[in-house]
Amino acid sequence: MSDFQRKLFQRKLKDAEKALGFDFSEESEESGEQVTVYPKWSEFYDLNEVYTDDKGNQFNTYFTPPKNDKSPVFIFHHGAGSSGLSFALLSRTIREQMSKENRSNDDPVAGVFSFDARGHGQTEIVSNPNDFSLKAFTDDFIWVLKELIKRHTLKNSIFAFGHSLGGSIVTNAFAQLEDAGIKGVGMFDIVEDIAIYALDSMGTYLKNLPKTFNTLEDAISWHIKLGHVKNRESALISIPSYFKKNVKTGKFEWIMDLHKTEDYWHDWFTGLSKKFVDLSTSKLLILAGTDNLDKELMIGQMQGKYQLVVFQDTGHFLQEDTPSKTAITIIDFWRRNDNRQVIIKSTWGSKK
Amino acid sequence: MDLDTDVQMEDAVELDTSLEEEEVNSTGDYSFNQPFQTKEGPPPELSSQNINQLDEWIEHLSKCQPLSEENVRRLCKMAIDVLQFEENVQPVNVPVTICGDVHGQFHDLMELFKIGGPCPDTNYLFMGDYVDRGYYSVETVSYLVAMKVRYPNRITILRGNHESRQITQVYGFYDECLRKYGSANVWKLFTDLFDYFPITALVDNKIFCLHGGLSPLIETIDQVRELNRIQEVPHEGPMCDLLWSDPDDRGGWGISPRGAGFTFGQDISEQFNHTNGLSLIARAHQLVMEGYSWSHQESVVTIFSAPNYCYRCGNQAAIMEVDEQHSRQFLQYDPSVRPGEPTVTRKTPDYFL
Repeated sequence: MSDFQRKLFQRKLKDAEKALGFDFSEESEESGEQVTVYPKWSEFYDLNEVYTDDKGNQFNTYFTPPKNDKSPVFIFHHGAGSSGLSFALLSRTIREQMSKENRSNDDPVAGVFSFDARGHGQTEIVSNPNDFSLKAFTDDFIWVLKELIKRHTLKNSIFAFGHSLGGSIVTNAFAQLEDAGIKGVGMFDIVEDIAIYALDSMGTYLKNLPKTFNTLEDAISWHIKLGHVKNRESALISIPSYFKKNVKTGKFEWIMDLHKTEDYWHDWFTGLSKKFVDLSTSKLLILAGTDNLDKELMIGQMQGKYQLVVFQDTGHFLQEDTPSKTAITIIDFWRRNDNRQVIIKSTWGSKK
Repeated sequence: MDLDTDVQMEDAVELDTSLEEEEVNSTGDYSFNQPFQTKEGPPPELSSQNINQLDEWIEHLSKCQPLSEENVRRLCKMAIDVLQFEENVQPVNVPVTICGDVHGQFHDLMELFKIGGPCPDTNYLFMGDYVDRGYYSVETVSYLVAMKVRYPNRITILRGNHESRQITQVYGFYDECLRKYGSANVWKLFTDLFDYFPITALVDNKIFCLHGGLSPLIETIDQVRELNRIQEVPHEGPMCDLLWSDPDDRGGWGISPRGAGFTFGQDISEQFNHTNGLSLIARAHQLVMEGYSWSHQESVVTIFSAPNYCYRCGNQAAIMEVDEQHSRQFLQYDPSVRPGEPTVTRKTPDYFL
């Protein structure tokens, strides 16, 4: 895409943002004395491109290209009800952390990519917009990833990470993506049988979900008060992207109506643990709180089939609550598992 | 390779530092930053008073009742007096019964002694991972340490990757100590003791026993003898590898999917056994559904002694008897039947998204 096209796109997007009630500066002025300055996507990523497929579906993406060919590209997929900007702070933190560790100018700094899945954020789906099956999400993810690689002619090692439902999607996608150069898959805070068990209480959860908020600040406070996100710095960029302003009422409504996904819930997670353990690539599982593994994950972990990391002081949105720890974990995972980087030093045969 | 593995330990390291400082100041205990050499020569003999004390504790513990904090303190002090004389490669004679992970499954440990024969009539060699995940880590490790002090020449207890300050803070032992004693003191006493556990054993110069596996930095058993083991399990390096590595179907060395240690192929195992005049490497660390599993054309055996691991995995457990003629026999067993089987309570989040 040329610079001109990009600028045109960004201007269009800005108009679209206004129409959706995303002009945060106005909102801040209305809310009185305490003016909250909401950060913009551009403080976290270099590019905000819309990828349009041949059916006319428009995927809203965020990308900062890798520094050079030896830098990996980390791809992130958010969970249900969230958006690509749930990884904004993590993405920036990863690049800062790698830059900090670098000793020379051609040392790697990762590319980071996230996008809004169907039904979420500013992605617009025109064909079968109410299909929230795992297959639909997976097909989208694969198309978006291939499009990213094509547009930016990426030859870098790719690592894909998904939070919650996103973990299930990247796991499901991997088998079909082996030729895309994926060197590792990570899931953040998702355990199959816990997720399925929790489905029972989802009805109550959704019923108690406020339908609207008067201000974005109210929405952010609500998320923080309930512990959904504990880190305000991240909440300021992620939470506003979950809402659209109703021009008639002036209130903020959820972009994603999770009720519409109810029929697909079981489909999202059934068989996930086995699928993950059996993936023929390097695997990372980060859990929040305790090591609440189910049988498949427990056996797999005790057979050394993947790396398990537990963050004790974090909520479900671990990439938002503890971006530094998550960044360090991801960078280490890449270092160990990118076969372009790894040489095992052995002293065998060096002395008699 | 710049290996800074095991980010799961991050939390732990931070928490550990504060505990460490506090405890060192109050008790003047050993700090793991200072190198400590093992002592040579025979350990001090037990007094009859100590024997009576130990028998009393063992009797108490065998009912799955934890010792008081004061008695744990005394027990750990006595255990350091024994373990600091043991070698990095502790020599063990046949006959001996070799056991794998126990992980706080106390009742299954009692079952193990029923199946294998009571200690001290039977000699035992345990290859680490006494704590974490199961609900009776305190009782399990207390019992095994008490047996070790009482019958030092009859039972050998090696260190596993879970006998570590960092890992126990994530996988249950730390929380169990807090729950059962109201403070982290007992956890501190045991994790300080773990630093003294030997890391490998050599059965009759023929069977090399350790928790994890081989290291690309350790070609001979003599190189294990040169390590300074009295420290927290490091994140990388030879001592880490011995406690973390796994055998693999692929040849040569590989990156371990676990995030620590390495994988090693049949070529590596055969070369190691040849170089060191061994017949077998016996190790634990991996859950195997039948309780034991051969790899690398019988140059490596994995033994796992926690049946139905973590009350959900549905696996059998096993131990391996080695007799005077070096013939081996595996004894498999299922979970012990006991009243009040712990119900597995697990946190359910109010979200799944």
